[in-house]
Amino acid sequence: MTTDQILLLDGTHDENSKKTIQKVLRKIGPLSRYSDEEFVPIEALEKMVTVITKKYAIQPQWIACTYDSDISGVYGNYSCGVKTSDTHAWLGTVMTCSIYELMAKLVIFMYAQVKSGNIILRTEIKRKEARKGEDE
Amino acid sequence: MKTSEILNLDCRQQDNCQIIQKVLCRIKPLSSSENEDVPLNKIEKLVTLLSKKYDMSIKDFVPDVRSNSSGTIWRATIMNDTDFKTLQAVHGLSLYEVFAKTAIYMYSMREKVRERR
Repeated sequence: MTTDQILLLDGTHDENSKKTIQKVLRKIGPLSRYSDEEFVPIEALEKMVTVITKKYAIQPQWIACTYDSDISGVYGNYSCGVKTSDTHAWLGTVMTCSIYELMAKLVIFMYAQVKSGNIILRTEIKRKEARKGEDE
Repeated sequence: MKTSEILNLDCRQQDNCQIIQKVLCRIKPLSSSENEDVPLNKIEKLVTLLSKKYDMSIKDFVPDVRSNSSGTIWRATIMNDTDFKTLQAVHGLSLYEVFAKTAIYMYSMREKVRERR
């Protein structure tokens, strides 16, 4: 299953999609300590986003909310863009019906971007800027 | 305790978390979770219901990852959809805290804001 396919799963209403998202989350290093029976807590997902953002030149933008859709029923609609911190290039947008699912998919998306090797370390940005200063 | 005082509670302290839980349990749709922490999805549903019924809603959640070493500071902006005025900005160190405070604020405002037509 590709990252794009995972991002399109409906993890709020569909039980199988929920399980698939949990399975994928547990494959991510620091989240692998959670057992198959328990849900990865939202606090762990938030921490994971913070850790990735602090280490790599990638960051989530704001979470936009709308509550007028009839499709999502008792839930709202949430979306969050992800961009690089060095070039400010837009990498993608995660869209879901619950805040838990949004954080879960955000972790999956950001982790996949880091693993793809396209995202540099934040220390690398500082090094690049220092080199630029020396050249000038 | 006033709503503004509740919104300014620092949930890194356990006592303050308990106050928030106590206040949440006083809100009718959440009162069934009296012996446990109110689950996030229940708070989310309440916020959605209030947003659908009244002319107010959360416009966005903004994370500030780099300003604090102990975690991400989240900010939610609640707006009046009639006159587009910002009603309140809510801050917290976790999404749960921000959602809980937002639900408390929106519930307290339900009689001051017009119902949707």
